[in-house]
Amino acid sequence: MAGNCSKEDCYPEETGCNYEGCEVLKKCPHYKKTSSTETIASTEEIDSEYFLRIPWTGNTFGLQDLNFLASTSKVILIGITGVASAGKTTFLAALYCLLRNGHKIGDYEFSGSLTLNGWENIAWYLSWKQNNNIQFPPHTSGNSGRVPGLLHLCLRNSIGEKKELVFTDAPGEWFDSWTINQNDPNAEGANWIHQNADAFLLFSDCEMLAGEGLGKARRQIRQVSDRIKQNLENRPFGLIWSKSDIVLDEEIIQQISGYITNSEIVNYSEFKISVHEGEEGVFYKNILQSISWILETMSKQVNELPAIDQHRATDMFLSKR
Amino acid sequence: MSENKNNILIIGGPNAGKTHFGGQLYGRLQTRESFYKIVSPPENLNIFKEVLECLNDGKAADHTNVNSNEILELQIVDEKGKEIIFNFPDYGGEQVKAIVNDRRITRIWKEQIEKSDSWMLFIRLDEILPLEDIVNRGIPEIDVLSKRNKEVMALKLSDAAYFTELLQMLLYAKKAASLNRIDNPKLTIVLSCWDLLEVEAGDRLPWQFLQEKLPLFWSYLAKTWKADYLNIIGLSATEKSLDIKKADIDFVKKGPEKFGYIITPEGKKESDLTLSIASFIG
Repeated sequence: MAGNCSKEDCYPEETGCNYEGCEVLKKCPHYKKTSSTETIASTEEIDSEYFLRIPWTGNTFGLQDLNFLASTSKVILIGITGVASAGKTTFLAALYCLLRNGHKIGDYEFSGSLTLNGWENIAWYLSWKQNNNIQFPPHTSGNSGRVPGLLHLCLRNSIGEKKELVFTDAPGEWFDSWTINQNDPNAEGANWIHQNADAFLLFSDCEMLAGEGLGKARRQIRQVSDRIKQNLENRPFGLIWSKSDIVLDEEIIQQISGYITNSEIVNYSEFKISVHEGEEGVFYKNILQSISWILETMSKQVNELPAIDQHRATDMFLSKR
Repeated sequence: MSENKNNILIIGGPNAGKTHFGGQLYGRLQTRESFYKIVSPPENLNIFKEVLECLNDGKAADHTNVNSNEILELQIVDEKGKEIIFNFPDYGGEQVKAIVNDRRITRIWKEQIEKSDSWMLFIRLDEILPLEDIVNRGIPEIDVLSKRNKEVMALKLSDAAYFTELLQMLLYAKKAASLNRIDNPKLTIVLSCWDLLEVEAGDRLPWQFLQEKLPLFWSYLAKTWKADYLNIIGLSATEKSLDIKKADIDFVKKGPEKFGYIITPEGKKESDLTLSIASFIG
C-alpha cells in the first residue's frame, strides 16, 4: 500500500496523483480520508491544498518511477555489472563529476536529469569536503530489492538529437549470486538487468587483480562475463579496467580479455579508467569514451530507410522531401 | 495563443535583485527617455511603492515579503508605437526555493507559468560556491583538507543542479514537450549584480562567464533551448551597492534613473534597462 492512496502504485504526496491527476489530493476518490466527516469547505481551503506535484523525486529511480520517463521516450538502459567493490558506483560518480565540470560525451552534452539528487549523492563522495578526505562511495546495499537503483541522464548532440540514458547502480553481491546460480533469489536483480539492459559495462578491478585476490577476482570476472554473453546478441559489451592507475601484468590482462573474447561478441570494447586522471587525462577521457562508444554502436543499429526507387517530378507528395 | 503574448515571468531566489530591477525598469519606463515607454500609469503601484521610495532616497530596498503575491500589469509602447502588455509579478524569493525543496508548485505559480511566454531567471554568480571535486581539483592531500574549517558540510544540491532542477520543474508545469529543443517559453538568464562581477568577468561575454561558473547548468541550457530563444545578459540595476539605512548622496542627486546598466548578449554596455526585455518582444 502506498502512502495515503488506495492504489498500489500511487504516491500522491511525493509524486502527485497517478490515477486522476488530482491537484487537490483530498478530492481524489482513491485518497484515504483521515476522518469520514472531512469535507473541503471553502475555496480558500482548496487553494491551500492545491499543488501541482512533480512526478519525479530527484532521487534514484525505482521501477515505478521509470514509467514517467519511459512513457514519453525510448530509454537506453546501461547495465553496470561486476562484483562488489569493483568500482561501479565510483565510475558513475566520476561520470557525473565530469559532466558537472562541463565535459561532453562524444558529441553529446548534458541536457537534464530526473535523478539529480541521486547523482549528487554519489558525486559527494568524490568532492572535497572539510575535515574529510575523498572517500569512495561505500558499499551499495544488497537488500535493496529486485530492481537496482536507476540513475537517469538526458543527453543531446549538436544537431539536437536527444538520448535518454538510465544506468543501473546495483550491489555487487547480486552478480556474485548470479554467477553461481541464476535462480538464486539474490540474483533476481542481476537477471532483471541482463534481460532489460541495452548495453553492458563489466568492471574488472585492477587493484584486486594485482593483489592477493587475483585468483578469486579472475574467476568472478570470467563468470560474470559468461552470464552476460548468454543471449547477448548485438548489445554492446564493454570491459572496464577500473583503478587502472595500478598497472597489471600483460599476462593477467590476456587471461581475462582473451577469455571473454574466446567466443565471438558482436560489439565489444575495452576501456582503462581510474579516479586518477592519468597522463593527459586519459583515464577520464575513457570514462566518457565508454558511454560514447555505446551510443555510437547503438545508433549504427538502426534500420536503413527503405529506398524509394522512382521519383516522379510530377508527384508533389514525394517532391516535398 | 495570443493571450500569452509578451507575458514575462520573473524568477529568482531571495536576494537575486528582482525588486531593484523592477523598480529601476519602472523608473526608466516612466521617464519616457528609453526605447520602451509606459502608456498610462498603472492603477495600483503597490508593488514598486517601497522600492521606488528607497531608490529615490539613495537606499537599498528591503527584501520582498515571502508571502507577497501581487501582480503589476504594465502597458508599454515601443518607439514605433507598438503596444505591449506585460505582467510583473512580485513575490518573496523564498517561494522559488520552496518549489525545488518541497517539489511542488502552488496554484498562483502554476497560473503564472501557464500564462507566461517569456521567463527571466535571475542568478547571482558572485554567490555561487565553486565546485571542488576530483575532476577540477584532483585528489587532495590529506593535510590540505585537515587544515580547513572543521565545519561539517551537509550534503546539498550543487548550484548547477539546483537551477537545472528548477527549470525542469517549471517546464513540466508549463507542459513543454522535450523531444525537440524549446522555443516557448523564451528564456533570458539575468546575471544580476554584474558590478560585483565586472572585474572577474573581464572581457568575457555574459554566457561565457555563466559557462565558466556553472558548466553543467550551461550545458543544460544550451542543449534544452533553441539558441535563438535563449539569452544571457548581465545586469547591474543600481550600478553600485546601496545600503538599507544610509543614503548614497550621489545617487539621490542624480536620480536612480541615471544608474544601472545591462550587458547585452554581445557584451555591449547599455544604460537603457528597458532593452533587457527587447529580446522577448518582436
